[in-house]
Amino acid sequence: MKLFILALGLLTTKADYLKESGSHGTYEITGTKPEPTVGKKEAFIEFTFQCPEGTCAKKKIQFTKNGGKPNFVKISDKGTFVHKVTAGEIEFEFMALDCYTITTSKIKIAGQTRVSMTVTFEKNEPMILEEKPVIYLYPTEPTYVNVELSNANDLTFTYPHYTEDGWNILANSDGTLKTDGKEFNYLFWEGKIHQSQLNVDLTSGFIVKSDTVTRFLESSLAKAGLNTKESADFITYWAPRLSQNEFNFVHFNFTEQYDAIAKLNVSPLPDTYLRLYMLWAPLPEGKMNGLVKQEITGVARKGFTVVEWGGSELPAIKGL
Amino acid sequence: MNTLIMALLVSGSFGLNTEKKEAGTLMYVPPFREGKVQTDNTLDANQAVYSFHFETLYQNKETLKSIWLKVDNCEKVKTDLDSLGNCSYTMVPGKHNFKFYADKCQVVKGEVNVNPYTRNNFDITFTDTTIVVVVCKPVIYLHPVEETPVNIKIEPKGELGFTYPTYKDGGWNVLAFPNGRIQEEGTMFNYLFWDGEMPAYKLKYDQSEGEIVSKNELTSFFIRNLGTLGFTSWEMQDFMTYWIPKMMENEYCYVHFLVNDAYEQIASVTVTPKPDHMLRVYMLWHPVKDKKAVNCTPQVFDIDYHEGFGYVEWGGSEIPIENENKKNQKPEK
Repeated sequence: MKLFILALGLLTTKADYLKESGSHGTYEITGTKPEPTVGKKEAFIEFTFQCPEGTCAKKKIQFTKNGGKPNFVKISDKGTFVHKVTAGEIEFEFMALDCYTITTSKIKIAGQTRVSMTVTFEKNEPMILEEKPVIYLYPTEPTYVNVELSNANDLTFTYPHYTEDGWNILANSDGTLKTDGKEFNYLFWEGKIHQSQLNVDLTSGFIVKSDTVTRFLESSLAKAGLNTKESADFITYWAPRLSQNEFNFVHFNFTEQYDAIAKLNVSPLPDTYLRLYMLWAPLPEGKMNGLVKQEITGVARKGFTVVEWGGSELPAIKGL
Repeated sequence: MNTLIMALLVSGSFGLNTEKKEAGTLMYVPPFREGKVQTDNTLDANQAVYSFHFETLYQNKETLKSIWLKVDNCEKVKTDLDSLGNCSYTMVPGKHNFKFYADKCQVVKGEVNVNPYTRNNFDITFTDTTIVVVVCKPVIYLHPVEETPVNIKIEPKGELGFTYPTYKDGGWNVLAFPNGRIQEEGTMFNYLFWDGEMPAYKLKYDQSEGEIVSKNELTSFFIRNLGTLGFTSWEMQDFMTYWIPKMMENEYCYVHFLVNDAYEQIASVTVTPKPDHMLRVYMLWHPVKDKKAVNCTPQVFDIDYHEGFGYVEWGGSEIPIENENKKNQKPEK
């Protein structure tokens, strides 16, 4: 069974880049009627909430008035929620789990009225940075290779430059790559992806302590089949980041799961693919109940081999 | 004569000052600057007005609420500042020595000669000594002519952080190959890696030298400059794939390179045997609002290439300068 992070909603957003900018979600005053049953300085507001899931029945919704204490919403059988307010100018803030917070402008509410208002939440799905995927090519003899990525539209930076036809390079058996008269050791790309596309499996993986990060990565990467140069590139990129946290959750996505993130089209067809994508998150509490140690099975390199590694930092995991 | 531009750093500044750059000294922003002088005939002959404006360099959201001032050889006096960071005194004109103190900041000294019947403005920029910069990814490449055992000792001016392969007492002892591969305890690497952090106020450079680069020009800018400096294409690739994704979060970045001698303020290195050619390049950068945010001229590099055993090191830091256009705040360490 796979548990998806989004479904759990247990993550807290840590870094700014995980949030999409701009305002999301809408609200609308759909009608105002006289309401003689309340005091002269009072009014009723009848809220109708719309949630990304279709129903809001099970959703935890809160709101504040003019920055005051949060109130919890209890939705009636009719699907609405009626709340008594003091007449005047009110700025509402609506919050629902996994959704963007909606802040209204100041709404004028007259005494002895019943105002109908519809609030439509929008799912807050963070964009996750796909960091530093690098691709190494090891043909058995000098070979002109074309490499295309399935996610070409979501690339933020590539080097050497990814053209309309992908990368066209001359690869040597020692892994050196030549294009535009320059020599490189790898192909680099970076992109952004919706968190749900990452298919994060929180049931298996590792808990890695800050002082064991290097040793853990060395042994895991060696088990997976990376050579020491590839491993050094990986470790010098990620270990300084992971070791800033006392505990981290780490899960590796291998070749098949990697396809969900980005498929590689390499021609001529490689004999061996070794692709490894690390998903990791700070784990402030240092424990995850029921976590099963992930099995790492190595890949034997045979013939023309393509190696790729990348990773994403996920928001900190709490409460598991 | 170099004009030191403070427009970016000094918002409420009273005016710019020109100062001669001392030979061999890199200036960032003079901490004490004389501003406008106005005549005021309503003052007495033994009176002049001294107005001070205070601020702090680097990210420090808290405005200065009070400072300590020492005039000539008198006792230190505590002075509360207004909400804009200003305070004013009426004192006797003439020559005075000032010392300014603020919490967690370096002492700022100033010498003035003030005429009677005048109102004088001074700008003081304190440097917060608690702000640290992250020394990112220095990597070291070795290019010996033949298979050579090499010892490398680094002495960072701040704290040493992560190293790979692990840095031991006595430094890295490796076997370097002509193709750039480095063997340490039987394992092959392409480079040696270290990082760390250091107090921001220790970084000194001349801001009037450097370039403002738009995010679309980063690739061509680095190819041009790193190429001139003598990077190989794969060293350039390591540099660019590390920095460009971070820098392109901003429309424009100010970039300054500390090359060779200037790199010493980050870290010294001792390499045995001594390389014939040493190239050490450290990039300082920060986001800026637009192409004209800093008045600067491109740096000119004068590198003599020497045949033989080559050593290349690069690293960099994002300078924690307050910038409202900065999109991407780094998570706190």
